[in-house]
Amino acid sequence: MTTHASADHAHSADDHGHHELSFIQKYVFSTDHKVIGLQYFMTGVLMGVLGALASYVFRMQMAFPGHAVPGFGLVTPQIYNQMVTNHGTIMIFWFAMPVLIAAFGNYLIPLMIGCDDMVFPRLNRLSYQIFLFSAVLLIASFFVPNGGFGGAWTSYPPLASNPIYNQTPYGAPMWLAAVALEFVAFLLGGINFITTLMNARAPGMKMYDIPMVVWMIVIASILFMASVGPLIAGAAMLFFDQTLGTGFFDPARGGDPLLWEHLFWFFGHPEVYVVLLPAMGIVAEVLTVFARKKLFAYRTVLWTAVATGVLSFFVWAHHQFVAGIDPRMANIFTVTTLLISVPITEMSFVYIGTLYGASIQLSTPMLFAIAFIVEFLIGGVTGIFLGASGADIYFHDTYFVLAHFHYTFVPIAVIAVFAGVYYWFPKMFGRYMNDTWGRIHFWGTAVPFNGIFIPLFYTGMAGDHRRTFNHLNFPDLARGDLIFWREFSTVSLLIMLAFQVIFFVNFFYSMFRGKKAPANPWNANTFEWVAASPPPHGNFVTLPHCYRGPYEYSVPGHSSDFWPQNEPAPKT
Amino acid sequence: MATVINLPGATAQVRREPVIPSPVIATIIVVLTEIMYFSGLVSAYNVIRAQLFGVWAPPGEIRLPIAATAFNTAILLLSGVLMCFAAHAYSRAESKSRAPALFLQSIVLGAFFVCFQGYEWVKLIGYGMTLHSGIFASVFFLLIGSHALHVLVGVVVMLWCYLWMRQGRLSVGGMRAMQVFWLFVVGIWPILYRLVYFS
Ligand code: HEM
Ligand SMILES: [Cu+2]
Repeated sequence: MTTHASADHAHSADDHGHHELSFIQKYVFSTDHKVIGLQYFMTGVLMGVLGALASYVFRMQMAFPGHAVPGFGLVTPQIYNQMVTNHGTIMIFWFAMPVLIAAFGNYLIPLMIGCDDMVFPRLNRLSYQIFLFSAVLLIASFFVPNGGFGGAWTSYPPLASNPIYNQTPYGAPMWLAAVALEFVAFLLGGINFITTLMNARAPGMKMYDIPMVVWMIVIASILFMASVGPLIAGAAMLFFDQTLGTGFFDPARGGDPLLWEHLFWFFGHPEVYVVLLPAMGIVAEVLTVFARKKLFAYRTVLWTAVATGVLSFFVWAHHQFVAGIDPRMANIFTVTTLLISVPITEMSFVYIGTLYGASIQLSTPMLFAIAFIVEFLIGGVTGIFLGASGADIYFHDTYFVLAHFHYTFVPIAVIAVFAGVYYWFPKMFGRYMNDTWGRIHFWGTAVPFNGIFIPLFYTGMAGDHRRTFNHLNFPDLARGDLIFWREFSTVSLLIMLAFQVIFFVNFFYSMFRGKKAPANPWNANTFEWVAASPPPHGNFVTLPHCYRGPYEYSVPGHSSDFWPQNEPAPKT
Repeated sequence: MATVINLPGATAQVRREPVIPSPVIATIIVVLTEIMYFSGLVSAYNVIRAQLFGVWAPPGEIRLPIAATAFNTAILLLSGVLMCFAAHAYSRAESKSRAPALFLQSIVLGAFFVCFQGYEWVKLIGYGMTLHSGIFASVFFLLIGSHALHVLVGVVVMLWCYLWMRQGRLSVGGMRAMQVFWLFVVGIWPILYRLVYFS
């Protein structure tokens, strides 16, 4: 590691952008990492809203089958399948990933490691443009003849590979192409993240001085890149099957439908850690600042994340326990799956350890961060039941599985994202979000969320299959208590959606009218708080130099309870 | 000493002496992803082959041109060696002027490889071996086609780099990045050749 004397870090930002840029140049074709981050954020949230509206449509059908959905109309089986499929696809690929990785990654990485931009800014812009195009392509797939794809986000052949079965000769390939393009966008982004972290860190910033969220986003990017290749190979085969009529996944012609499941889940399981780790990172930043305490066991967290990442490549077949894989293989994958809950548990405990004995400030971001740990634990614990192959034979593809992964994904993509948004909003826009409304929004999100999914564990155990259009067609499932809990779940969803309006009003109102925030409103240590709020093009007046780790809170003997990374130690 | 990378688009200030130049890191990441992509293809190939319990290639399939492709393999390997010489020459001041010629030879051999393969494909298709004619033909075109696409893209990017080199705009890091990519494309070929042609 090279540390340079003052002359070097006096590189100021004044060679940047002092000429006036037009609105278009500044916000549409910008190469500035902050603008790209916000573009990803806005696009991702917009897609998230679409995904949420889709869930409204199919949840209404679940609870009140056969009734026209207010504001939408009657839900046919085809529409139902399209809604479910694209809800899942959008939420994972166009909401969770862009917001957690691309938005926070782009916005935070250069700021938090103390440099003025990504190493390849134009590649970065290209990444967003491809992403935007992929989103448009996905939405367009709804408007072609026969409508959008309805074969589930996992897109299993032969249903997905043969237009005769899936009945969407245009929608299915468009869906696939959109997903593939989205992957390309993330590859370009990931290249930037990794290279920037390696080569553009502030002088003095050593490996263990890097803020956890930056590590987590970069590790997630590495996981993504390492796992996506086989899926792209599978996607190419599926695309040929769909459009050119090849038989890669058609057993009648020598192909193998299980092959797709392997290629998909080899990516699919690491993917869950791709979204989990950035959320863990965001929560680490928020927890330490509002606990005014050092992150407990920084190195353990870091290496645990790496270990989880490695392990996550060896668990994929737990999604295929009932798909006809060799039972001996199921044994092995049961063991690896149960093993992977160890590092996850460890990380959760370490975070709880950070809270131990701390002077906790229950601000809005902190509430969301704590809720993340609590709710995510439920998701992790139920995963253990599913990981045991014997139990999974019963649980597979029921609402129990659905509730499990929503207890992981919602904390990740919704709760942790809200923690991050409330926390970094003052940096992004120079103003605070309203705290009272933030708290109301918090309770209106966290409580109904449990109301939606706890009942689904129960209906799942009672036998509700997750791909059923109308449970009332099955006498065993047309029971009064199950009907009640399905309705309960849907009503909870309506309440949760209604409370999100508060968030959006708060967000846009505060953007223009919120209370003005200083550069470092939370008394945090990391570099982004050194820059002005919002940071100008080029970020820092003087690019900072790093003197210590990111979590030096309440250091005994230090004059204040925080010690920014860029402050030299006082000469004694 | 601050190092500013002169790859187009790379403008962020790099305030530490990079152990590996940024374009090379970027290319290594791409190559790692590509390795996983080809691993996916190779596994798919093996899974599909295992489905047919030893009757592979299925009887009645067209025999692949092993000998001609062996010659073509040698051409591609030679191209890779020349690329290494070119990059090595380019990275030293005293031999910089020799680099363009070596580089161009490497590019020409790479281009020859794809053209030759294209010619073989035309003949195979003429014999009735198409993407639809059977699972063996499908995986053949998928694997070999994926590689051919990489060669094609590699040759185009190399030509572009060559022009920059002539104009003095190509950084040593950029050339090293090109080398990493081309070595990957060259290096993966014998594996695919062995797997697909000798089955
Ligand atoms: C403690 C660690 C975890 C274990 C042991 C675990 C285990 C499992 C198992 C065995 C299944 C398959 C159930 C079935 O289909 O029958 C499953 C499904 C799923 N899990 Fe987890 N999981 C864990 C953590 C996570 C995390 C962190 C996420 C997301 C970020 C996640 C997301 C999912 C998703 C999306 C599915 C359903 C996929 C589908 O069929 O559509 N899981 N989990
Ligand atoms: Cu999994």
